[in-house]
This record gives sequence, C-alpha cells and structure tokens, in this order.
Amino acid sequence: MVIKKEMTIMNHENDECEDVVNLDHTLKREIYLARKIQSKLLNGKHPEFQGGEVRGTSKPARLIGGDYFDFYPLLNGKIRIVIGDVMGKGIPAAMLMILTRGAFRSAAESTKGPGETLSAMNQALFQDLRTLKSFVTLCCADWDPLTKTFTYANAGHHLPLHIINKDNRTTSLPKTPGIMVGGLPNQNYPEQSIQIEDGDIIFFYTDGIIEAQNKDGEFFKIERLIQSLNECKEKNVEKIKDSIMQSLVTFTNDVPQKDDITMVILKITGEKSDISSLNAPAFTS
Amino acid sequence: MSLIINKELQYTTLILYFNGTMDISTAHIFNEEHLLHQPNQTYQKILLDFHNLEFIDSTGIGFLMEIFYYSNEYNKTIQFRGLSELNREIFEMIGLLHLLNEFKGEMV
Repeated sequence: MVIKKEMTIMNHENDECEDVVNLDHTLKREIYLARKIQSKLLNGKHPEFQGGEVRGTSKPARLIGGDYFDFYPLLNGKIRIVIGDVMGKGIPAAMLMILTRGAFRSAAESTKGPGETLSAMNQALFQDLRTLKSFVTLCCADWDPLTKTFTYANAGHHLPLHIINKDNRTTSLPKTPGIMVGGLPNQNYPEQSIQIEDGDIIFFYTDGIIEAQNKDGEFFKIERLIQSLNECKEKNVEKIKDSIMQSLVTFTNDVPQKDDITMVILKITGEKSDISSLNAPAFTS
Repeated sequence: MSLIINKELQYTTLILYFNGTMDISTAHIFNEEHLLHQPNQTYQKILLDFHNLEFIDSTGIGFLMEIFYYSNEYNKTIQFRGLSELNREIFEMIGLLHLLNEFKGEMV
C-alpha cells in the first residue's frame, strides 16, 4: 500500500516535470514565432521613390523588442516616416510596439501631417498606456520628394541628425516641443519644416545606439555616432546602415547588447524627382 | 549595475535619494506605492534627489512618471533636486519636465 502510494507520487512528479519541459518548449517556440513576426513586420518592404532612398533596421536586445519604425507612402507622393521606442524591453514592450504600429498606420491614413499623426496616436493609445504604466517616444516626419521639404514633429524622442553635405557637418534637427505618447491626454505636437539638399542624410535613431556600452562601461555616445556617419556618408543607405551596425559591433566588442537598436536613414541622392502628386511611391522588398 | 533608494522624512517632506542606475536591471526596486507609503501619510511634498543618479533609461523614466501620478492622486507636490546637465536634457527631451510642470511640481 505504501509502495503504491510512493509510486503514485513519483508518477505525479514525473508528470509535472514533463509538463514543465513541454511548457518550456512551447514558450520557446512561441517566443521565436513572435520574434519572426516582429522581424517581418519591422524589416519588411521599404518605399522606393525618385531622388532618394530610405531604409530602416532594428535589432532587439532580447529575442523581441520595443523599438519601432515604419513607412507610410501617402497618396500625395509624400512618405510618412516614424521611429519609436516603447518603455521597457522584451515581450511587454513588443506587445505595445504592435499596438503602436496599428495606431500609426491608422493615424497616418487619416491625418494631414506628422503633428496630427502624433496627436491622434496619443489619443488612441493614452488610456492603454496609462493602464499598463508605460509610454512611447516617437518622432514622425513627412518627406516630400517633389519639394524636398522635410516636415517633422516629436513626441519625446531623440531628434534625428541632419548630415549637411555641402557644409560637411552634422547637426540635430531644430527642437520642436512635444511630450512622450502616453504622458498626458489631448496633446498637440507642433511641426517644423526644413529643406533638404542633394547629398544630405536624415538619420533617425533610438537610444540603444548612443547608449551601447563597451567592456569599460563607456557609452557609444552621439559623438561616435556622428563620426561613424561621417566615415560612411558617401555610401548608399543600405551600406550606411551596415557601417553603423559594424561600428557598434566593433565598439561593444562582444559586450551583450542592453537596449534595442534601431535606425532609419533617409538619403537624398539628387536624382530627378518625377513623382506626380497623386502617385504614391511604390514599396519594394 | 545597482540602485539604492534611500528614504528620509523631514517634517512634511518625503525625500527619496536615488543612488546608481535606474534601468531595467534595477526595475525590481521600483515600487512607487511601497516607496511613497508612510503611516498616516503625514508628508505633503515629495523631493526627488538625483545627485547620485548615474544613469536612467526609459524604464526609470516610467517609474518617475508613476510617482507623478501617485502624487497627483494623493494631492502631494513634487520637487526635483540635483539633476545633472545630461539627465536634465533627457528629462526635457522626453517631456518629463513638462509633466512636472503639469503636476505643479518644480526644480529646486
């Protein structure tokens, strides 16, 4: 009787052990699937347009991350670009990143400019973000290839860098006020516009780049980023992207990445823009 | 990376001293209700002292936001002290100083 009872307990323990192993496999499989979904959504198609090129890339610190970028070609020929960073890391941040993506896509279609897009996103996301004690920083911009006008608004994000080809210098875009999405309801995000000339680059980034650390605990910092950009600014956007990633790898030298790393590069090549006002730029894989 | 938050009650002011790093690696220490709860809630002001704050990321900023909302709910005022130039820039960029203003707080 006693032996039978002990065997029952052992069987129960084996079952529990098997359950844990199964759960572990299931979780791993689902996280890898989530990573695949996120990677496909982030690193999918990019818009093609005459007179320039744009690319983005994102490398999560964990299996999945909370950084976000997206492009939305508008019917008037402009391209709406967004980059963002959800508070926190890992699965919770990734779930909010998907919410943010939905809010951007919906807002981009129904709003006139990047400022309105951010206001609409804040209204759409505010309650959910408050409930979850989170927030998102975002920078949103419209690139008009026809007039070479770059219009942007900011919600608490790092302002993009402007690499000015003719002056051979790099500067942050002029400040424009705007708090993070999810901080307060009913926010306005004022817009700023600048003209971009041939050979110029607009570099959007998240803090994972400038806060990447080496084994001595030093940060990559904005100065190294600018230096790295200066060294590769003549290349095309794909190669600029690879060069910046390589600079980070060289600097960190196998120190594990702590934060998600994301960048969007818009380069004006000077080729003739020939986009009619009602033709949206095409998407290419 | 470590974080120590020391708490001191001076008359009607609760002072929180942040020493170290406020990021995801120290997030388990963040608990605004635990940190701000005092028997009888005798204090009226929360003073956040950042003299020894070495690094803060979005997770740390999120925690500070929760202190704002908590203070608003319980009718406390907030003050910031000892912000480094770099941290001040980060707080300003992200909108935390605007939030401080909205919640009737101030820098001292």
